[in-house]
Amino acid sequence: MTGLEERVRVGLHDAADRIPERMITSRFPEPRSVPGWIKAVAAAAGVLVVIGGVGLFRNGGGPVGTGGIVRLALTQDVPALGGVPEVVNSSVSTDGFDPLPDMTVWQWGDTGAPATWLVETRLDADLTALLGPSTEGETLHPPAPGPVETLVLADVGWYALSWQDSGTWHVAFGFDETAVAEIAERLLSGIRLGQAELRGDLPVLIDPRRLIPGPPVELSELFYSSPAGGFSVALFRGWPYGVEASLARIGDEVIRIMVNGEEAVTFSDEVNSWVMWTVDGGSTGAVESSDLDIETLIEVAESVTSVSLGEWRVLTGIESADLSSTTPPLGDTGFAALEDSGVVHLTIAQLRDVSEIWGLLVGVEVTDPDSWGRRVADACMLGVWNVDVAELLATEYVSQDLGRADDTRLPAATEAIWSIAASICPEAFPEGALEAGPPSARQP
Amino acid sequence: MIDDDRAAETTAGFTSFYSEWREPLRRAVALATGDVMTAGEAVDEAMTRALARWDRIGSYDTPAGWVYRVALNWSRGLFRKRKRELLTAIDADGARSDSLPDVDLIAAVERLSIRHRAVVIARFYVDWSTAEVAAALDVAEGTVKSRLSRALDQLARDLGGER
Repeated sequence: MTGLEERVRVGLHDAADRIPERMITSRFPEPRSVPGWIKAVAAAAGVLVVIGGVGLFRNGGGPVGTGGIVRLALTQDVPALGGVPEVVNSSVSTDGFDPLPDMTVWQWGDTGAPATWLVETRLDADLTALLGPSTEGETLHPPAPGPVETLVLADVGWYALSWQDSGTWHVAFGFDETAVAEIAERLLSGIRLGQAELRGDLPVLIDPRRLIPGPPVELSELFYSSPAGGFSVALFRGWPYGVEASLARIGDEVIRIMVNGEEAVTFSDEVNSWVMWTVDGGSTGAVESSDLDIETLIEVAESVTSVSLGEWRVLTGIESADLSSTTPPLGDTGFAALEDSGVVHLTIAQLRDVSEIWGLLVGVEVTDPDSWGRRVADACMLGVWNVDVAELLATEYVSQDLGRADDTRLPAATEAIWSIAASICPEAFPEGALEAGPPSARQP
Repeated sequence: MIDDDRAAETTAGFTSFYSEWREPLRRAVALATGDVMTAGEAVDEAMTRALARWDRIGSYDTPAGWVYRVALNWSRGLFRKRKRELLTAIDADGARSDSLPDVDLIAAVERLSIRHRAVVIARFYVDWSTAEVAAALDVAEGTVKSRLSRALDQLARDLGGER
């Protein structure tokens, strides 16, 4: 090893050693005692994965494991707290829940006293059994065992707060502290959930005891982003369930929607359909509904925000099919998790194309946008230009589609999945890989 | 029962792999992409996909190489989506105040293209052989050697001619 090589080796190891095991940022200047609970989980294929990054909650004064409202908070990374927490328990037992596998509990404050806790667990921990079906929002909620108050969620990209009134959980989230404060103001003044007091220098805290239940307006299905930009607001009856997104549908029919003369982004999570659109040349609005009663939702959004959302209409199927092949960007709407969740949002035209390629080459008709969204995402991410990867995916997909292995279709399937990726994500291919052609073109 | 046993073996094999490699790969990806904040996410995304196919991925000579490559692909995709520049891996100010002994070297590594940087990180931080780096990054071993040579040339120039 040359002197330079040794210097590189030593320097890189030194630099890597300085990357903190857990990213501690100073977004909050000091540990906070935040009452409430937090959870940021979503389910995919039976394994819970993490949407958000950090959870803070307090056990209501009792020690861990003896009740109170200690709940789950999962993180992959980045506690947005100052200071270095102390590990107080590696296997916390909470009422109603068994200890989580490989869970670490961090505590700020004295053991046994009101404190702030952060629980971390492994990405691949299967928590489904602990939390119940992921699509059931209610089962993901704590059973209100005590003075459940507020929560604050902080991640590298966004913040959220949630509170409960009259048995309904509400969630708001935004991209920075001031945005969340603005959310609070907007929610509380505009939507009239009640009155709130912003406490001290932590603007995201709302004292829920000051909340007075608002009028019986059903707003739990509304998502709205400020025309001024910078933050988004969501009100849910529960958490937004899953993060796997796909095109919005009414029944089995994929729909597209035009708002202000432009195509809106539409997609569905596991439960509901969403529509998002641009307002005032930049910010984004969105509504969400289990039955896509968009008239009502837009009407509510406009009345709440005093902003005209413009002309809109639901496109016919023929119009949808004629739309361009470019998927509109989601934009900064708080849906980074959706954007990065491993699903490519195919347009109607793209879906038609990939289905045709697969059908022509493999002889199997698959038109489900969810399936193709995931397949295309994997093909582009795993690197389908690699022959092994292409064959691996082809084997998987043929088995999925036929319910059994069929080696005779693998060469065609390998070529098909390469072609599909090349058409959807050519920019992901390394230099020269597109020109090299599909695996069949490279085999002797 | 046989399927259950096999699934248990698969899970155990992956768990061992995950425990051994998750953190080194996170640091490697952080160095290679320059984004400490998302490196863990990138590796976890790749790990998730490796787990789903562990019967096959686990049989590779260097499964960690596969995860490294996929994590880099994921990061590139994320950066493209966000239309953002690669961030600086090491906080230069923090590094200087924290008496990092070779700030010049780190700065020079950061100036490498991500393609060259990925090779340098894999070779000199993860300590893979050139053959292993080639397998990890899905390029020919000759390409790895070529990129290493060019990267070292650039580093030598940036650092004052030392090689």
